[in-house]
Amino acid sequence: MRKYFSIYKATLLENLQYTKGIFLSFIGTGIHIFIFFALWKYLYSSGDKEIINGYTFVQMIWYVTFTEFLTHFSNSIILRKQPSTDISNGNIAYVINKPYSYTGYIFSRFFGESTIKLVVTLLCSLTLGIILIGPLSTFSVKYLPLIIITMFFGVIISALIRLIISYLSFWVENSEPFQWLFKTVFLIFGVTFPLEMFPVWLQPVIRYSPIYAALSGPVKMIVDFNISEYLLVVISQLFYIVLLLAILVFEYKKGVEKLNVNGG
Amino acid sequence: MNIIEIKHLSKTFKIKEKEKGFIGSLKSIFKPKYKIKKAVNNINLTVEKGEILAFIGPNGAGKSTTIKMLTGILMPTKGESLVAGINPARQRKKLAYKIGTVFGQKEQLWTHLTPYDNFKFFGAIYDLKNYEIDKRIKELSDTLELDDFINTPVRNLSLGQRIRCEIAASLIHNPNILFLDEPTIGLDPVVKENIRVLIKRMNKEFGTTIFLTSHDVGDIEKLCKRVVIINDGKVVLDDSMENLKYHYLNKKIVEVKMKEKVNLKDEEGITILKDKGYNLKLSIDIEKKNITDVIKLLNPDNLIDINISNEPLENIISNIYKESKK
Repeated sequence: MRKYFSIYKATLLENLQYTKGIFLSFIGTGIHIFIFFALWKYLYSSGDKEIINGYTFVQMIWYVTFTEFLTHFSNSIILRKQPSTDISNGNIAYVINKPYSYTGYIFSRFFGESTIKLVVTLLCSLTLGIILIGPLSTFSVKYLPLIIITMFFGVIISALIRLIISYLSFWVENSEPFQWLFKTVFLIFGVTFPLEMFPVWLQPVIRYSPIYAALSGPVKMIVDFNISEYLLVVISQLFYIVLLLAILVFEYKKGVEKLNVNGG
Repeated sequence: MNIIEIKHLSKTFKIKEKEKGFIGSLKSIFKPKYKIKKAVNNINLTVEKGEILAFIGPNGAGKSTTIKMLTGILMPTKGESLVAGINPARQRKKLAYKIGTVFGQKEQLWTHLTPYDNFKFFGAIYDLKNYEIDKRIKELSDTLELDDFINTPVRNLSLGQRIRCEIAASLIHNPNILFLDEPTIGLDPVVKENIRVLIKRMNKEFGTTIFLTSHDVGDIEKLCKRVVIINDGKVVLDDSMENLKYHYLNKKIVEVKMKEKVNLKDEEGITILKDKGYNLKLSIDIEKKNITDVIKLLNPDNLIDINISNEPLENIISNIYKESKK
């Protein structure tokens, strides 16, 4: 584990230089949140409803704020671009002939990158949420440790999907269009609307999809904690983590076998 | 004792081919065409422990592909190799502890860290204890003369300093074998010479086996006792540097400065390379023409100055490349 901690530490040091950039990247997220705020405000005021599909206006805004917060992690450059860059410029030769697992190397780098992001993004998200809508009355601090666990699992699921897509670079020249597809699907079915907003026939599909396990499920525990729902979310998260890890390991093994290092 | 054993090693690549222009690009989407390239074709080779071996060949000959198979990065299509007793295709991670690699055109150092922090990082990657890393950093810093810039971020180093650090990082775990893929590329002559001295010192002091590829004849001539030439994926020559020079040095370059012009023409064994009236440069095939006969032909009384030298190694190697193509 010491070697992975060294990779984590080196990436953390590297990213400390880009703290300003992380603050700036939050501007985009802030704009997203503000658009959703304006949209939901209009919907809640026009229908004269205090609750839409079980969500109050305050819960809805905090839902969007935290799904955006989680999306910020999976948007990692290391997950999205490092494997494809390493493969296309031939640098993979240097990183896979070291005595560590390449996937472990990428994940350590991801955690190193995410540590700074966590502090900056959490601070920005909380500030923005409080300014826009005020504190969330349904949130209870006593559930915080449980919520942190499910949020962490959610981040891992998104990260695994991102990396599975990135490893497609072993076969295709550019995996970015697949990343874009992932982002769009997650934005529509996870970030923008909670599960309850979708047609009844579609809800079970989303409910058992990795989107719910990665985004909607854990965030729902922040806005409306329920222990039986929590357990279901965590079980589905563990299921997806095991499944996605198996896919990732298989994909990497096959990819490396057919690796054609560019530039000789 | 052999530290590298290669048996019938082959690697075939499937390369996508695209026709010219926009239409060609469209066609390649719907009906992709591939060609099969044999990058390495049935190579057999052994390298002894402590040897400095030059593994050379023209661009696209299969040198880097061979190195990448020997370091476990690429899987061979056929054949197998044993590096320090380990099969690279099956036990890449185990092999990583025994080998070091420097690819002159690629970077492994973290540019925002200092060389010292990089060495600490790589030491941890190779499971070395802190005191072992510090001891090794001291040794490498002394051997590779890194003291002046060991605490400067890598991004601020000159190319020569960076390459020295790249080599040091590759040696942090005291590997048995060091694979150097064009380590002196892009360096000025003084730095090149320094790097060569350091590689020699490293081989002598740490007993590291060096597997070197380079297009720079100076690297080969000054470092290696054995040369393996590869072309089109096949070994076309495997000989000692001494034999290479002895067998292929049947040509001498004669440069003369004369009092009066001599009307000399190409004839069997003599090729005029340059004729500037009073100054002549000739290539003499000593198997066909004796040097004494050439001097007689020029008239010794007419000579102001004469210089007889061997054919440059660069020409010899390039002739071997050409012959192997035929």
